[in-house]
Amino acid sequence: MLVLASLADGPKHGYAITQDVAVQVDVRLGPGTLYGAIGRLEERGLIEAMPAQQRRRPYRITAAGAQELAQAAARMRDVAEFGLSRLAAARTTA
Amino acid sequence: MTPHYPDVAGRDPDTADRPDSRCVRAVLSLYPRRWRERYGEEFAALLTDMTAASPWRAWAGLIVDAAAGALDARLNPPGGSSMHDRIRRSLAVVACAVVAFIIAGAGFQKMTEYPDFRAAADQHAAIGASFDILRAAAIVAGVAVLAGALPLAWSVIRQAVTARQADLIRLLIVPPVAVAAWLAIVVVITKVDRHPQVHSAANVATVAAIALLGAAAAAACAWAAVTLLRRADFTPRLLRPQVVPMAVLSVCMAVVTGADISWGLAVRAADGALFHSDNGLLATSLPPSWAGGVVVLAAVTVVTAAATARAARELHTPAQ
Repeated sequence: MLVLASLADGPKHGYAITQDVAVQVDVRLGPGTLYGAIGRLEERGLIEAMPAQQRRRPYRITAAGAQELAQAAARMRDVAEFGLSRLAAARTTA
Repeated sequence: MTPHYPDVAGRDPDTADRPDSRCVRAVLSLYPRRWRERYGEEFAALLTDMTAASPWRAWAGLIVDAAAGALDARLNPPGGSSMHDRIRRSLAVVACAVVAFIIAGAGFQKMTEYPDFRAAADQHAAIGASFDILRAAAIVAGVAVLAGALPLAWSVIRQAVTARQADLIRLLIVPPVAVAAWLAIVVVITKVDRHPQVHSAANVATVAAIALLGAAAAAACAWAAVTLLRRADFTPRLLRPQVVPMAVLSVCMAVVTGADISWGLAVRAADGALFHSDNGLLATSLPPSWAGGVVVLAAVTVVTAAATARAARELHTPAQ
């Protein structure tokens, strides 16, 4: 999810993804975790590799990946709205 | 255009110092070969950049995370769990089972070559029939192995020639060379000692040495077959029909095992003295040699049948 979100605004190589995710959501992705995710996303056709630039290979999100990201983000938004609305209602009645 | 990100220390990753490339190489070596071929270079670049930009405590965490990733990659190899890779693994299991089957069969052949057993087979229909059924099933099993192995071997030769992969040819040569070398040693030994006393210590030691060398040759054959099945590229069209010879082989192994059991029981019923004689392997008592052979044959039959069933199930699993 974090990798897909990071790639949603354009292709990035591994190091750029870790930096982007750290800056945006303060999550430090380790190299093993990141490449585990990259491998699975690539296998599912949600991202694809681009030609390597020196030793680094950028990845970009595919149409299927964008669709998966949109659905997952919508689900997370619904969960967040549900939780926030219940908290707001509890505060009102308190 | 890919955005360019400086590292966390504000340095350009392209020019950042490489503090410990040996450590990066060591971590990378934990990953499976296929994974390294696909991701190795970019992963090493990432790990180098991240470790170069991290204080030592974070550095240790990165190495631990990378090592944990290696475990994940071994458990879930990229593209390694496809249907055809699973069929390939089943074939590797069957290749090892075939080697064990051949060793057990050779043991039975060696054990029953004495004239006493031939005479018993001629005199008692049950012994003779068991022996004949065993031999016929072993021949059909051999044909099934060839039917499965020859197309794969031909594919490996073509691949080795077109892609100039000499290592594949070397692996392909290992089984015939190992068997030929072993046979040559057997021929030399039998020519040197033409009329050995069957139960003499020298003869037992000679046969034991031949058996050990045979086991080494068998191990070399199994290793070459498994390595070839892992390294060579086989098309789905070539792998899918392998289930047929595997199934035939499973049935033949079951028949051989049943015939071996039947043979031993028939010998015991017809000639108790012969059954309890010391005509077993290496001049030992016959019952343990016979029972050991039955156990090995039963085990390879179960292993082969399970691998065949797994491969057959893969054919009926929808592609992912």
